[in-house]
Amino acid sequence: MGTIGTYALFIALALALWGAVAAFVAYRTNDLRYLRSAVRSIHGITALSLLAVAALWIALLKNDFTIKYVWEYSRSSQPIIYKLSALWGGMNGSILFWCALLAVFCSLAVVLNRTNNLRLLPFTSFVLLLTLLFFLVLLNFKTSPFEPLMDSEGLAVKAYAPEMLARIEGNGLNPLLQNVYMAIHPPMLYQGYVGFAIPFAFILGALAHRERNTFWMRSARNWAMYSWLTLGIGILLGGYWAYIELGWGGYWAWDPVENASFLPWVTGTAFLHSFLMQEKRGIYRFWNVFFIMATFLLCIYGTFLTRSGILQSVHAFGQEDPTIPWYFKIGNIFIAFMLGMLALGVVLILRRQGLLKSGQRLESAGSRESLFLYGNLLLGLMTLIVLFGVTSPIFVRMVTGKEVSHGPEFYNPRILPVALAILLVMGIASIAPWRRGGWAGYRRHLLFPSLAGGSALAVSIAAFLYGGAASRADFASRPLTYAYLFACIALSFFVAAILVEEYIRSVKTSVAHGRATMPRALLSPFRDNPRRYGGYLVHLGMVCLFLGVAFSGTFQKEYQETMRPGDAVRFGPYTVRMAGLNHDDLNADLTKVNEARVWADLHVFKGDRFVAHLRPQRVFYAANPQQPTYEVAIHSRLMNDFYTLLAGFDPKDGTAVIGAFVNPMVAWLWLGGLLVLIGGTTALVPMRRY
Amino acid sequence: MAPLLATLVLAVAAFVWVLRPLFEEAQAIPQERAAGLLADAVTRSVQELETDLRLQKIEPADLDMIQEHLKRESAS
Repeated sequence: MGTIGTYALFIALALALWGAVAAFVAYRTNDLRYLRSAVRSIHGITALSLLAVAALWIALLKNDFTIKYVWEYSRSSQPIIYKLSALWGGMNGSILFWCALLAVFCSLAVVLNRTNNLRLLPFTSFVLLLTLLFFLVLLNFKTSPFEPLMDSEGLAVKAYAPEMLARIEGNGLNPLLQNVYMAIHPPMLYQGYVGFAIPFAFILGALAHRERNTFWMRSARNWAMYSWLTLGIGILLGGYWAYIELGWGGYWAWDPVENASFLPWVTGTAFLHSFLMQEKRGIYRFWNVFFIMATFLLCIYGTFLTRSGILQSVHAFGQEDPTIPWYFKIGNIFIAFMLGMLALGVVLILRRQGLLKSGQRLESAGSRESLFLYGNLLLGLMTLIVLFGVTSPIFVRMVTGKEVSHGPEFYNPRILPVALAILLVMGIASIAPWRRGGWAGYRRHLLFPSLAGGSALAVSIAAFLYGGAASRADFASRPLTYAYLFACIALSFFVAAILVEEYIRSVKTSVAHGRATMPRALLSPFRDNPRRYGGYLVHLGMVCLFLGVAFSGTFQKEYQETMRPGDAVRFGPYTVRMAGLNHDDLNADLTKVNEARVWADLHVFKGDRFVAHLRPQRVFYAANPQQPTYEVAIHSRLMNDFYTLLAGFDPKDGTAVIGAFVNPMVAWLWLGGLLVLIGGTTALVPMRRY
Repeated sequence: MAPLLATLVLAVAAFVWVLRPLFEEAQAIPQERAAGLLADAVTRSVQELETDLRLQKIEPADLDMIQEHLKRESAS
């Protein structure tokens, strides 16, 4: 399998090299034959990279430990799902997966645009092929997942006698990654990263081919929308994985690699919004080019951060050998590619400045067009803050040699005001009139939302003022936190009321104009204008996310108690009775069973009412039995999560150290994510014509 | 030996397929845009704005102005 994979990647590299040349010749000469050849190269690369993926998967499933990657990230007893997900569990495999996914997306993009945007394809294909070429160079010369396993004598183990080969066992996948959400999270994230390459290539293609007309951008917008959606869901799944697997009771730690995935999502959000303005009014042309370039480059930057070893993170793939010459270090290869793509984009922007001028002015500071601009400026500001937080420690370390990292204390005070301002703009932009922004345009739409936001604010303040001495003392000890919380509550209700009112008005208008009758009219906004109302669902999901983050961040309570079977302990509003501490055979041969578990049986009561039977566990994996992982147990309800973990245990006397968190409204995050998924998918549905 | 031979065959086959278009008759890349696509894009954009007209988020005069712009843009 190793030989097939290696050769497949080598032929793919040759095809990418030829394809890039052919695409460029097609761009310069306008010769269809070269374009066809370039497009065929893309399809050939797709077939060959999928062949390489299949070869690696087969090697993983067959426990072919003669391949170093298989030996490093798999073992015989590993369940099939984790043998398959080992493809993206290590650096080399993940780059192969990136490359194969990119090739598939490139093939789809050229096929879907072969009639409508054929004139843009030469340079677009050139950019796509350059990107493929970059990954194929890495796979062939730097990060081959098919490298043979060598023994300490420098002899390939492949040459061993069969009985010696049979004795070789792999290390196995990192236990933290042996989780079903970790099997889904990276593919979702990669689809987002990879997908943004398509609109990036199309925008550069449009600039190179002097395309001023913006209607071709619908195709680019669909790719951007899909990538934005999968990246967002990927980030959220990563948060859920961290919540249930890492045992610290949280879902987001402002880890540099988490931030690196968040950055392109933010700029992608800005692109999706300013695109709407370019489509309707022909404005913000430069912003669109800027944001899509930033999004693609930030995707590559995120990949660079994870793979260069420059950062310490639970997500990073580890350090590189320091003896490697600088020009062959993976980080520097990534930097060279990013700079190359940036230079290509900048040159095209400078040479096609005329195409990026809209020739239209913003008529009013309160118009819809202006509000979209404010939103994008705020999203840009958020990007800069996070980018600074991620990047500055790298420079500080390079200059001073000191290890610095930024956590919540850096991000929260800077990001929260910007995020709340975005929430406000998100609401007002939904009701803002086109071209005009006078008070008269707003007045009739603001009454109900202002009442909703104001009432929510009054109720929350009253609840804290009359919530007892402890509540008042907490309020006095961190007034700024409460100020942010109250602002978030008021704005969330304000925005939610705007969205609900907008939907009701749309349904009523459909009925009044005889376009639909009840109850069919309830769905008519989504059928008639899926982008707008799908977008509103996404906004509603964001409101849920804001509330979930605000409440869980402000009111999380942590507890820890040592318990024996029969003990009953109070954790906030819950009483926990420990029924017992149980375990699998801890002396079992882990190479055969892959894992052994220890768990506490907990009966949870709220008052006298039994509410849940929880089993927090520690799991010893064959891959790393010294570091058992957490399997937390959560009693999840809409308003509260009761989160338990087995922090420590002694199987001899049956004692267990039980950690617990009461996390308010965490479920709102997952509910918000679901709404974003539904809304985003709706926005991808083609509009019904009437 | 067999894998090497198989690779060689695969590489030759891939390149023959990729290079084949170069031996066809020369042809320029068509530059015209798909007229149906443009009309469809304009219609959909106008349709979205008409929703706003019904919801009183755009004045009729502004809708006309934007519609004119969309038509000009599609012809550019």
